[in-house]
Amino acid sequence: MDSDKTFLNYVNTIYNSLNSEESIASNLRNSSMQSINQKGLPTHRKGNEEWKYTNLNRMIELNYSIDNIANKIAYESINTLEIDTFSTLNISNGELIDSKILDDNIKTRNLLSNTLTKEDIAMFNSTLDGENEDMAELNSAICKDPIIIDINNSNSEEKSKLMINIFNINNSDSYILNSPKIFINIAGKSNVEIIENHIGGNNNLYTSNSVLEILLNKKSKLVHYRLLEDTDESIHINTTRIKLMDESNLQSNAFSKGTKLSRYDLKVITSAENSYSELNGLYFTSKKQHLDNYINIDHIAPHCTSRINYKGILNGESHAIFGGTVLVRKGAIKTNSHQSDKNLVLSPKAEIDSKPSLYIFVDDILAGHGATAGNIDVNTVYYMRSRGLSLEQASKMLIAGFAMEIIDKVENNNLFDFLLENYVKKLPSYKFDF
Amino acid sequence: MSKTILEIKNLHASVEDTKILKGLSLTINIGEKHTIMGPNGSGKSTLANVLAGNPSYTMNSGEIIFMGQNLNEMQPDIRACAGLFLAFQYPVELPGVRMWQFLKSSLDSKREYNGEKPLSTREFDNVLNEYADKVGISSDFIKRNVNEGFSGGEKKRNEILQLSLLNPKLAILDETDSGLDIDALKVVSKGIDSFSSDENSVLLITHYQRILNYVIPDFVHVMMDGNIVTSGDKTLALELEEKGYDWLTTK
Repeated sequence: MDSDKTFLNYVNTIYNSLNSEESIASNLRNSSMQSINQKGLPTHRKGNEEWKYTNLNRMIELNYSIDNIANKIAYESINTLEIDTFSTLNISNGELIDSKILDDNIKTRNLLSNTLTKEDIAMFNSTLDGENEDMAELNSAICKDPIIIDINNSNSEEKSKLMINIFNINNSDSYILNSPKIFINIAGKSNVEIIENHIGGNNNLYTSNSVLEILLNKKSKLVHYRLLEDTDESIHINTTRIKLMDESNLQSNAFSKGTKLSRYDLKVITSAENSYSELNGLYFTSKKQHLDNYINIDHIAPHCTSRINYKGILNGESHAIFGGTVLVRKGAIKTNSHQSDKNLVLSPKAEIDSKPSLYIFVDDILAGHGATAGNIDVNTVYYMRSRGLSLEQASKMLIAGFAMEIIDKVENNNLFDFLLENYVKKLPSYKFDF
Repeated sequence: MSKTILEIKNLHASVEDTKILKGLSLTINIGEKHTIMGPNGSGKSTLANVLAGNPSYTMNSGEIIFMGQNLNEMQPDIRACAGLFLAFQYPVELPGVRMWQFLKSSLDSKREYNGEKPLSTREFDNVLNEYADKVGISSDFIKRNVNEGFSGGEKKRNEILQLSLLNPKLAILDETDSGLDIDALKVVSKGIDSFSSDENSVLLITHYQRILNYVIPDFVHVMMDGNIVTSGDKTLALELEEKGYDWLTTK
């Protein structure tokens, strides 16, 4: 348990370094830090279904030094997706460094500012319910610079477009722990597109434990893209909660490249009637990477539709997980839900645990789920080769084709091109034994 | 003087451990159209697959010479580039692979093998549109994934489109006419007929005489139990239509 102690000591060091002046942020930190010090860390526990396949010891055992606490470091030298038409927020090591806001309908506030109303305070953290949210609590204890983003374009014909770059930069040889936290409040009837891009500095060592909360108010519409451009050696843990109010519409698209360890804990909560949510995901793992998708939908209100469509491509000795639950609560009548996870396992040493589950507590609904895992079909490759394509060409085309089903959902042309260049073209080809 | 495109000598082949072809020999010269008929399970599709290099089939003994080269030593893609084409009985769906990309890559591979430059996008589009039009494949199909959601007839038309584009020396058509309605049969037959010339050869595997009204064969062979038991001209097909295959076993 020494590594637990060392890690907890590191967390306390960060906590103590933060501004303790009375503020909403500091109140939040105090109560979370107290709770963690009492309970201990959410490490691997037997019988804990939510963490069944992911052992957090891999995160805790890393070399964190109390002399190395994340500081503001410039990110400019890092190449990543840039789109001129998007407003941009740049967050580096958990702090908002700069922003370029092109749209008056997007406003950012900072919880350290003490200018928040009672309503703001009530809203912040409101999508979290404390259930299996230990990592979000850890984030709350040491988040340096929690940010609220308000977007209200209900009076505009134009869509509001926002790119949030979450940089992690560390030039030392011990790990740092970053805790970015963002709350996005999308006003009723607004139409919004958000790209959330997690980026690591070249080969940098870090653990990023981020929290994103989104409130989609009545009749609002959000297309959310999540890109994982973290480094090979990084640990990426993210808790995302999205609350859907009446007739709101969500399309969430998550594109993940594996890291040493990553976990995406997404929960969509249908709080009011007639919402639509579509959660698409594409993950790609190689080497000894570990990637855990924990994708949940909590159907509370009636007449809501949800779709989960995730796909994985696994290579090397990597391990990927698709877990999560579609929960249809009593009262959520006329729910229409389907979840699917399909995997292409390219290496005999790669492992997928795909476990979609469905809990239904009401009669009058439509729901289904399915999961597949397999390799490329011999006959399919033979067909392609019989048209003159080499084994390598055929396999590359099929692997890319498998990914394209998700990438085709991207309507933003710049992002589509970025994904082709940075994801599809970098997919492996496969050496077959036949 | 006739030039031999394909020479099969005493071919034995099996699937898993089952022997299917038992000493089959066949010679096809340039400009010739051959038809193979025969009851189910006689080995017709096995022959087609062995020729195209399907890895599920094993050639046990014998010799196949294709345009002077030993076919058994060539991978399926090299066979295709060298000018052998198999229109599949059951064309395969390629999820996520666009028609345009697949067809362009296929043609580029073949051109590269033959020391030719790949066609530019515009040149390729012109060729593709011309052939697609001939087999009644609309431009919408070109944007779709290969064979995905295509009807049976559309899949077969797509095979003929690929045949026209790749312009092989030897086209093997494995029951391309099966499952087609009369209109689709006409389109497919016309496609085969317009491909066929003095410069290439056709090996047409079929159960039905009706396609032979459109694609008139020079030779008709009957396969039974892994071998060719009799050969003749187009009148043999009419005789089979009338009498079935039983009379051949008692012959």
